[in-house]
Amino acid sequence: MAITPKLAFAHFSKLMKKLFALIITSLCLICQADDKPINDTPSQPGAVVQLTVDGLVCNFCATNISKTFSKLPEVSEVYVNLAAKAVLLQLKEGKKLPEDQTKQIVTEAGFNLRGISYPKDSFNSIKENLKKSAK
Amino acid sequence: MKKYLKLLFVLFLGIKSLHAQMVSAPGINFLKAEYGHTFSYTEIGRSFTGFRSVGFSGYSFNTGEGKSIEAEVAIVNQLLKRWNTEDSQANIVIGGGVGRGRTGGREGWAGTASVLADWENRRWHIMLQEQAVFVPSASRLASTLMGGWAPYLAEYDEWAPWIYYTVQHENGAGVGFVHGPSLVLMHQDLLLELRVMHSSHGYHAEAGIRSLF
Repeated sequence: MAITPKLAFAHFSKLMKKLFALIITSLCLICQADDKPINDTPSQPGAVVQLTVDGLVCNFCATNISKTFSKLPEVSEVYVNLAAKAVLLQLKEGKKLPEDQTKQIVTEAGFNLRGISYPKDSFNSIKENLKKSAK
Repeated sequence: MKKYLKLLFVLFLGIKSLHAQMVSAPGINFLKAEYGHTFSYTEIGRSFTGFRSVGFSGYSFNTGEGKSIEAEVAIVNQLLKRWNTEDSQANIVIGGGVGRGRTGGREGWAGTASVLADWENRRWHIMLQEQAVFVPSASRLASTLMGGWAPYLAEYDEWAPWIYYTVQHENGAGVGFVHGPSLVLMHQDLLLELRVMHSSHGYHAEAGIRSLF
């Protein structure tokens, strides 16, 4: 059978369609594969810890406790609210801060730990609520 | 016995402290500087535990008798006792140091010692301090009482204003009682202070800055 230009174009078109479908399928698979590590990256926030601290009455007290917790590798963010005597800690993904260690850190910084809780709400949501209640 | 030896050690090293804040949390550095009509003072140091800090300070005082006292000393501040309650904090801090000093052309060893007691809540702050600086053939002894009031309760990330009144007595014959109001502004790790003090020399301004870093 003679290969005419028309037949060759039709064959080429089929091949291109298959190739296009293969590329799209591959891209979808690559994107799905890429999605998984993005969802699992350490940038995802971890647990939130809320402390109630006795003696937390002035700016320098707040600075001391804020800088102390900021240095910990487990902690990504710290917020101090003087009105509520509260210290809010955002832990990094997969990181934990044992209660005994937390108490020791607060004591060594010169304060007394009165309470510790692990709220389910987000760090920013609790922070905003503490700010509102302080007004 | 160990307790008394520890106390003697601190007193021997002994120098000054100025504020309870000069003993901070472990790993926190501090800077304090004050400038006034009859004195200038700078202190820089680091808290290695929540109860002790070490650093260096430089003093320059006018005794009011035509003499000036200058000293540069290595210092240790020790928080002896802290009381923390839900709404307040009280501290007793002692400090001391040794270094070099000079007055009237004479130079030699210098020493400083101080004891400070304070109580504060978010609205009120009261502080009593005794401070001594010894240099060859001269000394400066000062007793200071400060009371502060916050017009409103600011949060940590806001500017917090405080109004203080200070009464101080110095042993220099030409100085005596010094007293006056001051405005203090605190924002996170920064404290700025501006005083207008009255002494036998009349009114004069004093300024101070303190920071944790």
